[in-house]
Amino acid sequence: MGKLIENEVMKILYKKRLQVIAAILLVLIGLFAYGENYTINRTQERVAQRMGVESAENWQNLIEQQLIDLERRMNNPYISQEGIASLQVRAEQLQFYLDNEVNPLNSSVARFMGRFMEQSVFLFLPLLIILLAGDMVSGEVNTGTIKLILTRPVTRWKILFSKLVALVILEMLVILLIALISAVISLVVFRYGGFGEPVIVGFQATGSQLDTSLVRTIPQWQYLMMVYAIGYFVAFVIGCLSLMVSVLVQSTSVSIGIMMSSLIGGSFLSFFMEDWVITRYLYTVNLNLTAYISGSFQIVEGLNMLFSTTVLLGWALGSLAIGFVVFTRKDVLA
Amino acid sequence: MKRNMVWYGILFIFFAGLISFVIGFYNALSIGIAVTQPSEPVSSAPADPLPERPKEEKTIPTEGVQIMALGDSLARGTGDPEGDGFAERVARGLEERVAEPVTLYNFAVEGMRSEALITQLDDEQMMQGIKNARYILVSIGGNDLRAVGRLPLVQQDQAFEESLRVYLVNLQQVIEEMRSVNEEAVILFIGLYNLNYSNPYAQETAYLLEWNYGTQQLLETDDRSQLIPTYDLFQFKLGQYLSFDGLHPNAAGYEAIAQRILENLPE
Repeated sequence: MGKLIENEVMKILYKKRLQVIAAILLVLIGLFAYGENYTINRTQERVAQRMGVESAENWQNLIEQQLIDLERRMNNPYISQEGIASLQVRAEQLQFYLDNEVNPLNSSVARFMGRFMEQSVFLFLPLLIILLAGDMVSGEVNTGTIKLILTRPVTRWKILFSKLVALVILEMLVILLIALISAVISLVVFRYGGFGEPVIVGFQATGSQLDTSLVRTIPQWQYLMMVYAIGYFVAFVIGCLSLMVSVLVQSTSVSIGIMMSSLIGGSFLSFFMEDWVITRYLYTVNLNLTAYISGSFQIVEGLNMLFSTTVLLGWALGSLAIGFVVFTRKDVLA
Repeated sequence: MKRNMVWYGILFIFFAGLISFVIGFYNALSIGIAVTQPSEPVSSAPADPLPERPKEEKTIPTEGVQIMALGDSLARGTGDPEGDGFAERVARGLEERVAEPVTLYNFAVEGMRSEALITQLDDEQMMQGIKNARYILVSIGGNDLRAVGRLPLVQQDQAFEESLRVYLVNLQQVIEEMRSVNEEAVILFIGLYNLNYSNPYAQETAYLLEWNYGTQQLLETDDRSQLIPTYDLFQFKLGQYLSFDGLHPNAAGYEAIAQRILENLPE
């Protein structure tokens, strides 16, 4: 079994898939970092204007001003406890910047890494995984090598299972590749790690009101661990789906096409039919898991962390079941 | 041999990553579930919640002159390098005049529009403040009007009519709600100034004048409220009074507004 898995992993490595993915990542993350750097410069100018000073270089003053303003607000006896809680975490964050001499207007490696994963988890990352997994079975059919594999004295489910495990291992490599490349590039661009910076999490929107009873700050590295873990989970789910489709259809291009169109079409559909409850059960709608912890809720109403995780897990296990049943029973005519 | 090394390397990376991601995902789940499921008891939240702020029961002050500042970035004091805005300046000016202590409570939020002000007034604690206030300074409507200016030209006329109507309804409700708890307080609305005096035919100028007029007309229905005009104040002094962003007043601009408010305050 171990040998089988090793074989599958090596097969993909020899196909240079990871290199292609790394190249795509290099280009895209490079552009992203350049864009972010550009935006930061613009923001600094704007903030300087807004605060009525000539440049934001003297950022300590700006932060002190904001802190004084926050303090004034917190001492306002007419502001409710919840309001104060959110002011307090904001003040805590600003105080950290001041104490550690971190200019909050500049970006950091940690902030960049987090943002990149947040932005790619619902579309870009799935596309990379499809690229990786789309031809795992159908590719063998296309080239005819499937016959060689199936004639060996190994049961069919073991073959598919070893492909699955290989995929799970390679998905990990892809996620770590994303982390590595974005870390290296942003280190070159921003020259500041910032892994200890506090991140605000736990904003809770109930109705139109913002409930801040769970708001707290956690260090960046911890936040990154969560975001990248979510990325890995998403990669796993998409990988299972791609594997199933790859079992079901004969042609690699069809398999990749089906996955891509379901991914893109699914997120379209939820725009057009927001009120239709069934769209909540589409896997595409539930991919943006990071939004639940960072607190940007604009997703379809009625979704929550537990629901989305369960739905995604359901899709993954369901497609695995179908994939295994079909693969062990079907006639291979290639 | 080399192949073996690669394979074990991959395996090692995989398991190391897997362990940290399992921990990470567990944390993410617990935070995400706590946050997105309001019905869950808070006890399911992960450890290390917000450090409890010393809850010295803040006593609601009842004596002295209390001033409330409400509304948008102008009331907040954006653009003023000293961060005081007109509200703090009015409070200081008043302090010299009256024997009692003067306190300012600023509730302004940058970018606020009139409908957000109504939502803010739902807060009971805030209404308590309104109740105790002697002067209420409100700067609102600038962002409502500016949204119209960002639309394509052909849509502006209709959009303007609509926003002015909505704004006036909102303003009326604001006044009514304030009056329901406090009949005595003097409510002062800061009028809008123009950013584009140089072109007298500009559509925006016409809108702005109509807007100010609408506000003033509405305020006439309440005999203890007033519109503080700033249109004339800024007309020849735009260069002097505007901050670098070309939108908010600078220190001198806020000082001018504050002086005008102080002139108009009843004894």
